[in-house]
Amino acid sequence: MAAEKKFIFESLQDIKSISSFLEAITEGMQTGKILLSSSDEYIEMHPNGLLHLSIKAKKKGTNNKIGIKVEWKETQAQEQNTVLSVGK
Amino acid sequence: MDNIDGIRENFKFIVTETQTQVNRIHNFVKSPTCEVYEKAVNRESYINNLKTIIENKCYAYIHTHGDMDTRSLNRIRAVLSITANLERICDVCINILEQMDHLAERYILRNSEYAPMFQVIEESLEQVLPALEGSNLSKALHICRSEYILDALYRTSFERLTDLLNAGREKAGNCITAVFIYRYLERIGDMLLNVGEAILFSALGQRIKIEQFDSLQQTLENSGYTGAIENINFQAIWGSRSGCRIGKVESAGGGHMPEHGSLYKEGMPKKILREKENLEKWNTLFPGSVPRIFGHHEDVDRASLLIEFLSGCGFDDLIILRDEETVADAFRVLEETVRHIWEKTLLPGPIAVDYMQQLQQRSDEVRQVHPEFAGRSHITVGKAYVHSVQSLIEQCAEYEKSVHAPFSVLIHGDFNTNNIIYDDQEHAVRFIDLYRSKQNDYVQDISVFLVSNFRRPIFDTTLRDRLNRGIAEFYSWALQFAKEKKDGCIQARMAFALARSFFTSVRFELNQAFAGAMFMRAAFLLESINAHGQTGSPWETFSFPPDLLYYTA
Repeated sequence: MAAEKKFIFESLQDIKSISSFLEAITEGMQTGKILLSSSDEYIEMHPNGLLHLSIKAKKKGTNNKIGIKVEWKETQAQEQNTVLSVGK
Repeated sequence: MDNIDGIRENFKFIVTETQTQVNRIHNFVKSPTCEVYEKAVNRESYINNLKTIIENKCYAYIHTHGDMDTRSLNRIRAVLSITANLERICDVCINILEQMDHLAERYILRNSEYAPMFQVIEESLEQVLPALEGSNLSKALHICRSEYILDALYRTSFERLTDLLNAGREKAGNCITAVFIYRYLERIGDMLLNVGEAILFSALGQRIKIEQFDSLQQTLENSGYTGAIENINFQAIWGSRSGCRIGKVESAGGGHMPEHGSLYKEGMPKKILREKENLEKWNTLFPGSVPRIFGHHEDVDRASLLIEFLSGCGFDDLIILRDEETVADAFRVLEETVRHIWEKTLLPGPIAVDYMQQLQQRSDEVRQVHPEFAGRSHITVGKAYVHSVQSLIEQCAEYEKSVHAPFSVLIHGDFNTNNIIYDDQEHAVRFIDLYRSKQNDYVQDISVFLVSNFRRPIFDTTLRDRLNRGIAEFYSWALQFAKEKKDGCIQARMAFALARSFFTSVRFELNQAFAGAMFMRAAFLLESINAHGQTGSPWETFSFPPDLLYYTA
């Protein structure tokens, strides 16, 4: 079984700074390469082909949530699920 | 002591047996005989047995009397501790006996050296029963002090014997054996100290070390207290975050003590002295706003203060427990009082701020408790880059050099809600714990107040709302004050100060999610400061979303 690689980053952002993350992801989608890293985690993702997109929104009282999930399978040599998830 | 299930009788026996055993060993050292040797060795198992009986009875009693009052329980705990130490003293007596066997020449042991040591031990053992049964603190202290005396006596003998060894005038084996014997007598002192402290515990209901007790006694004397130390109720409050030990002292009759009792603080001389000076300063400038000082005592490494115990309710409890009207009144009085203090002590002219320095001083502690937060490395998400926490702090510390408060005021310095006392009878707010008070940026007090509310691990929605309302009230008042004083960069300084308070509060919180909520606020503020700093825009144009001041359960 292929080893699982994981990258998690949680933070508080304002509208301006969150936009820069979304832009970075958008740009990665367009170029077909997104690099996610910290000092001890490193994941390079290559979104291409057919991608599954799910957008979920929830509103309950004062709590709001938008979840954007993009999933795809690598089409060539490696056969593993790849998930890029933004939001919870 | 009541003769609970015969415990008293057994206890009396073990005390007497220990006295007899010590006395036997004394005689044996003076003039060894087979008869005394055998008798001493034979009694060892009897003493062991007595100890087991007492332990069994005590535990059985605790087990079958789950509802017993604290005083009785403390007494039993003391009996157990004393018994264990007496049995160890008897073991040490046998060790001495065995060492005597190895002694080639008895003259090496001097009567003038061991006799005073035995005398100290024998006199202390005589005090055990009356001290415990009469809760007699003077006798307990007498037992405790035997350790110091035995230490000093041992040192003298040790020096003489090492001199002999160094000079080569005596056989090494003989000298070493003699040192062992004196050393065993000195160790009995350690056990007697435990015995004395167990009696203090039984009498006071608090674990108190002899050094602290000496300090308390001295401070009481300096305060003009004339009664006996036995007439003091001492209620210790341990685990103060500031590193000082705090206890409440009340008169239990006799002697002259203030009506509401007083608070006893003990800690490092530097800290205590600073607190004393600040209390005096505040009492001169704003009479009655802080506790009065009744006594002060200082020696090389410990100092203590006896101060007025303020009646009233801490703001931490008040916000959570009291009715809305009282809370509103308290906030009004707090704001009026703080405004009065700040306006009266306001000194115009820019003053540097040091929030990042304060954060850096505590960052190791935060890293120890939550390395996953404080040690967070840099992050990249595509072209988006997030600095490591360490680098954010360093960069913010650089930017902070260009930030100044437009004026300074006399700040409290540790404006946690539990350091603010509201007296609803007198409609007055008073302050405690002033050792950090100084002329500084008022934003420090505001941020500490706000975060001391935020960081409370309270997750009940209603209570959390109360905390959030308190935060909102004080924050909006502070912004109004800033506006009146034309303080244009309060938001920037507040961001530095809040980042510091959120970040350092993480070290007190083990709830991962809640600690994370505080850390993320600190990180957000540091990132915002950093982003603003990079633009080179004036700090007056900086702002942060006020939402981060609130937590929703």
